Amino acid sequence: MADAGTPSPPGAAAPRAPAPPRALRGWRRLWQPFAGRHLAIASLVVLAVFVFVGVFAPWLAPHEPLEKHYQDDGRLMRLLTPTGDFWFGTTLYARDVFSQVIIGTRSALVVGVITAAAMTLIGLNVGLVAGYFGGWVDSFLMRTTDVVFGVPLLPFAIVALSLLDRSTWWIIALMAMLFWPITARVVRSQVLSLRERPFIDAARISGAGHLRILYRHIAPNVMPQAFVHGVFGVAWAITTEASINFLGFGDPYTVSWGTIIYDVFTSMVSFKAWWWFVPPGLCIIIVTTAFYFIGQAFEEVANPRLRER
Amino acid sequence: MSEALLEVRNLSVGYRIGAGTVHAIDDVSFTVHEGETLGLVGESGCGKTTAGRAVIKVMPANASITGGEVRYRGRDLVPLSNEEMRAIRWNEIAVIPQSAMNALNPVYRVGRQIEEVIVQQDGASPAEARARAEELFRLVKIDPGRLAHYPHQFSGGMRQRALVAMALALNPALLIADEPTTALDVVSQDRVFTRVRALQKRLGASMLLITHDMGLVAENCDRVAVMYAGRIVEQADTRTLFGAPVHPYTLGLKNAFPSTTRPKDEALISIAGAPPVLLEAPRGCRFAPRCPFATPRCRDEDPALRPVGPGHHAACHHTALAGEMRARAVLSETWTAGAP
Repeated sequence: MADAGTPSPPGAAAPRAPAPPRALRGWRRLWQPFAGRHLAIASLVVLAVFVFVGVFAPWLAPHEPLEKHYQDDGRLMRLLTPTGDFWFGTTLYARDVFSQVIIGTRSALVVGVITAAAMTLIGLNVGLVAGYFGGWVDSFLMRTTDVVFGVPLLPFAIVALSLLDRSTWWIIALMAMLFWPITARVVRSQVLSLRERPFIDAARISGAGHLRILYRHIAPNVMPQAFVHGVFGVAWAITTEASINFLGFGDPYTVSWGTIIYDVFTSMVSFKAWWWFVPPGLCIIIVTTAFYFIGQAFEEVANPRLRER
Repeated sequence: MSEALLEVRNLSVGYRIGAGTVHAIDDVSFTVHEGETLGLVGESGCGKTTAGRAVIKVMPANASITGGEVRYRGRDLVPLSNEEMRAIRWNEIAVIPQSAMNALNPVYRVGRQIEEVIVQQDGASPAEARARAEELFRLVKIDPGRLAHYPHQFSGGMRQRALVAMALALNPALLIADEPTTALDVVSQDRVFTRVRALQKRLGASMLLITHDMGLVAENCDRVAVMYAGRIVEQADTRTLFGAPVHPYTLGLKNAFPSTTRPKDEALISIAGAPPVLLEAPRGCRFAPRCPFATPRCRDEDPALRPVGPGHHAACHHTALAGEMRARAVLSETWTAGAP
């Protein structure tokens, strides 16, 4: 590219730089990871639908999720196959499966996103501090990371939840407490390389302190990796929460995809009432898969080596 | 002569490594006067970068100043805390770092990085900083519209000039340029350095130019200090140093660079051997093992830096024989015969 500093005769107007390639801005930059990736675009559409459902769940659900429905003669409408009134049929307790799945969408997304955010926050900070300061700080934080990494999630969550309140918040906290090591390790390894780069040295020369170097100069450079693992984290959190609820250690008063399947299982009608467990099961699969594909699209941007040659 | 801005006295810096301490610079003294450009030259690993870094005290974790003083405007910087040093870095002493090509953070726009330094260190408002950055870009001959771009959209020379602009952002009194142009081709090198010189003159700043490029030194420096193996071996004004050098190492260094007056088909003469490993202080003159003029005394006794003329110092036992050495030094057999 031509250089703006070409010497010009004295008095001549400063030569204008030819327009360089424009930096991608705003939406175009956000769209970049998806361009040409059909799976990722499809996932985005699917996710948009789920997010819409999650946000407007109370208005979209035709019935109260825990309301029992009676026939005219006063008998419960148990295990109805899907009809015009109950799109996904009813449960053994005469509740509307469709409404439960819709309300469950909201809790799945909330749990997933909050857990991922908390996990990223912890992992990012641990990784930054460990990688940047090194020495005993690094050893201490990374050994802690190793220990946490070794804790098996479900057994730990089951034991912890039997001792604690069975609330969704505790489930989120437990997952965040066990998920962060992945982010921490990835971030640390990036920081180890970044802290030796000339621009960090330049920042130091220009009088920047540790905090400034860490959060202004290094952190933005590891955000792509942290973000990618955050997106995967949403998927892990949704499956894990569903598993915990399916095992019956969740909050019995909230409706989530996991608790719906737990209800099917404990009612022992799994072989009969397919309409009861297939919808929440499919939702879990579809949403987590969508998050994986989106995460992968971002990962290819963060790590160009993954791109197809 | 004008007042001393920076006085480095008997400075020593050591790097702790597994095998002990490497004394990268040992008892080094030099002075940069107001408005002057001092060249610090020497081959790779002679400690010139370490000396520059020690002045602003940004060094690798295993390095430490083991002795001496760094007086800036009469105030010793060595005992200052990191906080106190941060106020001096960039405001007073700015550095154009060695790898200036990669010294910009890839995730921020160039303009933002320059403005940030101005806002941070000078307390200027963002609008003032913006105006200042545009002015600086015009000074280094880059279209101010380019402030909105990312470093990867700049060419190497532009990045380097952007760094120069950044270094000048706060009107520092002293500019430490550490191999400012090594990564550039000769044409860009010249273009960048011409800007640096013009700006330095205009702002009245002093400069410590660290380089191994004798051409750059000859063109730009008022005085030159030659370093070898962590010591200053000769120091003089540029004319004297190139016209009547005294130390055999300077003679050898001069030979190793092309000259416009020597016949062009003549091969360059290099100095055989390698500098000593500085794990322990070598006995005698550090250059003796590679010096074609070395005598038994050189291998035993460490020569001190002594005056040999007005403003001219050299660390050699045989400065009296300088004329003869100069005559023999231009012959290539001098350097191939005696050396190990």
